[in-house]
Amino acid sequence: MNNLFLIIRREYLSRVRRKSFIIMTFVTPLIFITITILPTMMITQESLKEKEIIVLGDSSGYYTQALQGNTEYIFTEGTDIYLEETDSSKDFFAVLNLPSQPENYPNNILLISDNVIPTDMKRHIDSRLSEAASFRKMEKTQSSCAQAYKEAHVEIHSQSIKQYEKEGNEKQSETATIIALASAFLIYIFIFSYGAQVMRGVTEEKSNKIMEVMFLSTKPFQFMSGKIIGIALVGLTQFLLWAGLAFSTIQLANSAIGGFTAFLPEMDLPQDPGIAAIATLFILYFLAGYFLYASFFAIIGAMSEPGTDSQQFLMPVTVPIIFAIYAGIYATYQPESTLAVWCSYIPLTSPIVMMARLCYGISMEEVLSSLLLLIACAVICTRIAGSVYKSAILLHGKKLTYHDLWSFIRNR
Amino acid sequence: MFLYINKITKAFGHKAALQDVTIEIEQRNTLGLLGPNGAGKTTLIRSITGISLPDSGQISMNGASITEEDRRQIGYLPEERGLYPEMRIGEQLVYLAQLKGMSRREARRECDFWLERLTLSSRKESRTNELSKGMQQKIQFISAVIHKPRLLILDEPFSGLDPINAEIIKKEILRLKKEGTTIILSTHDMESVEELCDKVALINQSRIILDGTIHQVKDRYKRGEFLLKTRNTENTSVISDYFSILSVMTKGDFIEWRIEKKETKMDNNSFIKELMRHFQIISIEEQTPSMNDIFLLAVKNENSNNHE
Repeated sequence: MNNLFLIIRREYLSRVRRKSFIIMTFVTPLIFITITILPTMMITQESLKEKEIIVLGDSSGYYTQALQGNTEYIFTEGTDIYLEETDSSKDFFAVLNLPSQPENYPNNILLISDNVIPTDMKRHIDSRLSEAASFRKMEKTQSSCAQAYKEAHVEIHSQSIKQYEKEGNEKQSETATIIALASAFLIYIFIFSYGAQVMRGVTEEKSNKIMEVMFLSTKPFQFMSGKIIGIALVGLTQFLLWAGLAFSTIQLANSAIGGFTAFLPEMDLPQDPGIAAIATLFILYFLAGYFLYASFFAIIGAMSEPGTDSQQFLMPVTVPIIFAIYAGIYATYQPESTLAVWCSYIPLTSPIVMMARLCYGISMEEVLSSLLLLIACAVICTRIAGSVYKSAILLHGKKLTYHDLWSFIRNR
Repeated sequence: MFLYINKITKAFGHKAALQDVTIEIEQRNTLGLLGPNGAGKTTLIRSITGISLPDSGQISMNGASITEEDRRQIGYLPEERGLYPEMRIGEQLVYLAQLKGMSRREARRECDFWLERLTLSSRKESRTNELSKGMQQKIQFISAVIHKPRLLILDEPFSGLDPINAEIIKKEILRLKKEGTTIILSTHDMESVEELCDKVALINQSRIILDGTIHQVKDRYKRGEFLLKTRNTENTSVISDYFSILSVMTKGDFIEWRIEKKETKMDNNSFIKELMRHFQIISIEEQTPSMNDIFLLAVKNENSNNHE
């Protein structure tokens, strides 16, 4: 057990200390930001024209007047009839529905939109309405001193509602799709890049006689597991660093430019499963999926001579991963389709496809059975890989074939 | 008996790699494992280290079948280098020693001790691939001995070393032997075999064709040849029933004779008496074949026997 710990430690430290790890930790998010945020920003730039918000139920025009004064938003007083007439064109951004005498019903204010409502917009509306409502109340009590203002203060919290939610889940939840695709892609990328590291590490050890020296004190299975676990920890460290980096960037930006988060679109985080459950399942699926594929990559590494014919062995492993990512994308559109359901059980695809389906009301039983199946399969495959690894890594100068692979598995 | 290899056999497919190989090694002894390339030396070493187990036969250590714990006590220097090319020397040696069961503290101490001993202290922070071939070989040697093994297997330990460094390693091998380490030395460097080994075993075509102490083996192969030195006044046309003259060489005031016994069973005392009847002897020395000659002769004889 002690040796396993030593091997994990070496595998972990030797990778984390590399300059390439540090560089990639900082460069990858930059690339990621460039390829995701930049196009979004370009689109946002285009849509920087003023957003029109129709204010309903303000016949006096008092509140509509009070809301003006922001260059980004135009508030237009409207009626239900106006809304029906303009509905077809839909060139307004949102509808603000005020009750009669909003100052007395501060919680009955609805902000309805087809789009994700920016926090900044909601904040602007809430603060202007609160101010105006407080003045309106003060006027009524005809007091003017500060004390009276305090008493008359109305705190308005408009409720932002996305149109489709009112209409009953006709559209997919954007947030769910983002989370689903992001986690599926992360698992995909992780399996590929870190699985390849396992393969490279094994090939390197095969190319010199280090294993022969190690063999006297360490079992090959221990050695292989140590390598796989060590590299998994490197991956987790990288994720953690990215999370920390993202968090501190937001914090920094927040203190530098007040209300930075206001620029971000308001996210409706899914309630079922909650964000904590998603994060936990992400880690579990990612680890089990990685272990499964890493054992395949270890077999490939053990069977190929450095820089030669690993490609022919790589095919059977890369095909299911690529298939899984397509099935995963499909599953976000059709989470209950036969393909999506099957693929979220088959261990080769489940880490990616189940993560993609997770936010679409999948029962815990389904998730757990898929996860258990995956873990069981990962354990069996790691065992098989261990025996193939032992047989293959100690043979030198002999080109291995699929027939050899089969005989190693059979001779376990 | 410290290590007893008893009739082990190993085949890869239809090709025999080891046949009925039996070797005994006493504690504190050094065995020279000799043989042409592909004879089965590496397979034998791999059987001892447990990398590939024999098909039949037993290997025992201290009278009991060899265990995993026994194998932890083996230090092994493979013929090709087995080090992580990107890892720092100090770190790597400590890691390998820890895997062999040493505590981190002890491993660090031994690492410093050995680096100092082999004058490599300044390279502690270097990576393996930054070192010369000879330095790497010295590091490989340290990695085999750092955990104070009871059995040390060295496969071509002098490859890549210049004469000075080869001498340093030889001294260390002798020191380890003196301290109680049993050593198996597989090498083609016959000179070092004569210097370091107590016993030799010669493998050819998967079988042991010659084994015993260096003295026994040399005795077996000596041809009764003597080097005789006399004054330059002797008659060079001597004829005897007991010996024949192979060559005569005049060197200043002396003559050097190479003489061969005709009766190999005749003991040396009687033979010298016979010589004294013919020569005024200044000095006489029996010529024993070198290990290199024995190696060549034994393999040649074995191969021609097999062809017949």
